[in-house]
Amino acid sequence: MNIFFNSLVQFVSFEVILGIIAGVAVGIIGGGLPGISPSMCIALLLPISLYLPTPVAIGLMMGSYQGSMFGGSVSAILINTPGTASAAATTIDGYQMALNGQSGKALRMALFASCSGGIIGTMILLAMAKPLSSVALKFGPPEYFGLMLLSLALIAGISGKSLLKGLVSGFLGLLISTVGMDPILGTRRFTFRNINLADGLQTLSVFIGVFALAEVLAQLSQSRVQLFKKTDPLNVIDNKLSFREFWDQKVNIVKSSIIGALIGVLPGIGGSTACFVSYAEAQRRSKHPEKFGTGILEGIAAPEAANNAVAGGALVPLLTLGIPGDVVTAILVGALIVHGIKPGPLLFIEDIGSVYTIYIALFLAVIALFFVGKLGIPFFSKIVKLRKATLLPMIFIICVVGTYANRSNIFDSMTMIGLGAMGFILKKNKFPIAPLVISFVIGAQLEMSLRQSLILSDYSISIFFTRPISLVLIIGAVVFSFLMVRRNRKLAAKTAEN
Amino acid sequence: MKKAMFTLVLIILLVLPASLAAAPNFPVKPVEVVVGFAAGGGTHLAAELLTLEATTYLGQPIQVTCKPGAGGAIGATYVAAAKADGYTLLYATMSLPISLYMDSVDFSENDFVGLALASDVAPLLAVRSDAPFNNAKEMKDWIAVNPGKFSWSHPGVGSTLHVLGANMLYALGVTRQVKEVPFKGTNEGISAVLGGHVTAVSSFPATVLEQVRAGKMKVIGVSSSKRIAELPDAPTFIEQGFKATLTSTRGIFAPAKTPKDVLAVLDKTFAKIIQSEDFQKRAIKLGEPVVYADSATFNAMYREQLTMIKDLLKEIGLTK
Amino acid sequence: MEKKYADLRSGIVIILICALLYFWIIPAQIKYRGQADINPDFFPRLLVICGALCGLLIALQGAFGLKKAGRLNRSVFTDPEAKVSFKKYLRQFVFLGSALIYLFVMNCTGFIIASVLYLTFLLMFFGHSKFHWCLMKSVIFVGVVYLVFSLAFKISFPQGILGF
Repeated sequence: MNIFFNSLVQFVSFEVILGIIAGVAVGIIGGGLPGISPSMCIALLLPISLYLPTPVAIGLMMGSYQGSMFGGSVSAILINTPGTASAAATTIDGYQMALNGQSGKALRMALFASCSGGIIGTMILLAMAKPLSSVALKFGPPEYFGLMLLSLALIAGISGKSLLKGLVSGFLGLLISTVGMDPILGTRRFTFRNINLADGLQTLSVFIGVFALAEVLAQLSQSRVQLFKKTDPLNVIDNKLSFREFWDQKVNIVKSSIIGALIGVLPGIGGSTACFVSYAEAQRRSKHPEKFGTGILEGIAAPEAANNAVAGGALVPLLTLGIPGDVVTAILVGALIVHGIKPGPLLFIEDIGSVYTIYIALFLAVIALFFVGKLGIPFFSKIVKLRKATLLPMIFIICVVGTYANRSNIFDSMTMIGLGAMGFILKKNKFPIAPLVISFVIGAQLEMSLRQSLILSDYSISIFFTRPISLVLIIGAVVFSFLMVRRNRKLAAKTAEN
Repeated sequence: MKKAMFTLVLIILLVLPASLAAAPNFPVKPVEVVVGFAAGGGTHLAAELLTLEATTYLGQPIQVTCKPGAGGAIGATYVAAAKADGYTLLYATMSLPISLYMDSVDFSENDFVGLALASDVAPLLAVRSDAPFNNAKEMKDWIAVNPGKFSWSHPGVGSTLHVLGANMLYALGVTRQVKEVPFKGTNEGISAVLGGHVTAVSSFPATVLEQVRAGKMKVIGVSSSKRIAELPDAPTFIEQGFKATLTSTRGIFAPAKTPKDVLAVLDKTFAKIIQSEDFQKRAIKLGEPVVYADSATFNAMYREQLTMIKDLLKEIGLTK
Repeated sequence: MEKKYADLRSGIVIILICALLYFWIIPAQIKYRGQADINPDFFPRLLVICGALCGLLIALQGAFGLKKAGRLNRSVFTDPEAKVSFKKYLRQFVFLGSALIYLFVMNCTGFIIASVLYLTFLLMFFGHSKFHWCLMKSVIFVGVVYLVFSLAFKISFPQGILGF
């Protein structure tokens, strides 16, 4: 208890509070700029943090982590361009809400959901770190495969009106995830002798191309005169978020946060998977799943709560085992080591004070996010007032810069253009985009886990069925697919009647 | 007469710029060091150490750019194709010679000349602490009695830890009896070992240090000529009678066609930077070893590595 | 009716692309030696087959719909609703083509010049008419983006022959 108070007292300092606020601000801006990932923000703050006392440094980085998970949704909602990979699912309903003149409401929902997710994620971390990490260790390749399969089954539910077309999108997403080096043998696949494709298509190029650029191309079908029209200010109906509307989402937010935290706990998967799985799951259990994609609050609350909860979850293996739970915490390891904190199994025993410091910093970061975000929202919303003829070209330049910034490689911007064209063709022919994106994200891990498992089992499939966790997950995947297909059929029949 | 004067002036005008270029007026703008790995990762952080003292010793800042991809090959391709004027350098690991022989790349071994050795890390094989063997010999015997049960993880085909891990197992003579399982990174491999899904992991000391300290994992052997400072109780393979001493070097390269006087300036500067007290202090804090070799030595090392790795990959069976 | 033509068309295109992938692109792009239980081309081939099956079903859906409406005959080729007008998408083609040119040019002239010129072009392409206004806005926007990304987030942009 003493140690806890010692750690707490460190935070009663102007410097530390300022550090947290600065971290959140940097995170929101970095997250809001497509191409600047949450890991980059922390990598950027790392050298600066070296000169700062430890609590300030930790506050800075936790602030940045939470801030960037919200920041990504700002550009996702306003310009249909996910600012971070974890905000890709928010783009789907977020941008639609902005088109409906409800960008303010969408941003506020994103903020409140992000903060709630952050708090719930932190609470899960505090309460269940040790038991969760022992469960996480039980997840070997077969279990990861089962989990990916289950996530894939959810796609069946978000295919919208045409299951067949959703499946085609899904297969296409899986296919493009195979571009690059074969994960087990290293063989080059679909790289067309271009070394830039050796690591596959970059996630951001896919997201930005298929969402943002495809939309720009779609908008281009309007005449120059139409695009030049001023945006109608009177169109801003119902733009604030009422407490009731937020409270209606409480079940959604809690469930999505849990999903996000649990996904964060597993090393190797993080925000980009969590946002889609929670989105698909929210759609699955919703009473009006057909409304997803038209611009509803549920479609924003779910992924935003999930991606902020990932932070708490990813810290579980980091603090209990020294193994980072996602790419952002991987950078955090280096930062912590430099400050003399050694993440590992002995951390709780040798340096519990630092653990408390991290918990408190995470908690305060969420609070700071709430206030900084609230301040920023009216400012961000101004972007929507630009007319399309101005906004769309600028969005395009941001897309190019964003896809370039990831690897300092112009080729990634070129692939974005190709993927944008593909996304546009799919849109025009009424193929849903969400299944493509979700299966692209899951595809690499899916194939790798499958083949890793088969190597371990000497190519016998029984490995999936003799291990309890993977058996449960695979059965769950099959059952889910059935339920989804059946519900889809019922829905199609209903709409056909109308 | 006029014609002769004119020709003389013309000759002087032509010769002058060339002679000026020979003068070591280098550097006049920042020097870019390209790292072929992701920002925030171990290699990037190690490269960033160079930037701290740069302005003092070089007169110009050093800027580190990350161009990740293809196990370092994208960064290497970029530097190989860059202008050889000394303003674009490569910070590479042993993946450079590896990628030349395991992969199809657009540069050749003669595109680079070594400038300085900055780091040298020894890989090791670690298992969970309750594994039924405690040293290399016991492990080898166990594998003989339990064929097909031993699996090991590495962070990806063609990675340094893949080749070095394969080398360690080759030295033990068990290559055909073990299962090799690639993971996305060393951390995922460690997680798999702790969970009992995979038997061993090929890793650098820094990543498993805490696990070993906590008693969750034990080191079977370190591939190095002598014991390492971070894990003084971990035996090396060579002292256990198995010939695996290959370590992973990291160093700075310049495009081969860079003028010799520019190379000389860079050589002297890196000697000062890497051997400076400040650099060494920060390196230790980062968990990096403190080594240095100058251009001539490092270049010879590089050449040696090229032949050795070429043969090694064939012997181990990673290339034909 | 247009939807049914579109379905039939999409389905056939999917089958054709899958065939292309299966018989030509996959063997060309995935070359491996030896025989593991799961080869690198296993997954891609599996996916392509599944995709082709779905494509077939989609095409059949479209065909049945047309049959019910009595349109499954020669009119499939002549009906105006079945036509795909490429002219409708001219603007998209121009945009994509110019974007690729912009990226290639960036390697020569550097990010700033290429972006200022291209953004000016885009602003006019999307509906603005005053050239000077577009140029000014371009310079400001590209300038801000460049500064924020390169100074705050330390991204180095492609430099042109002029050195910036």
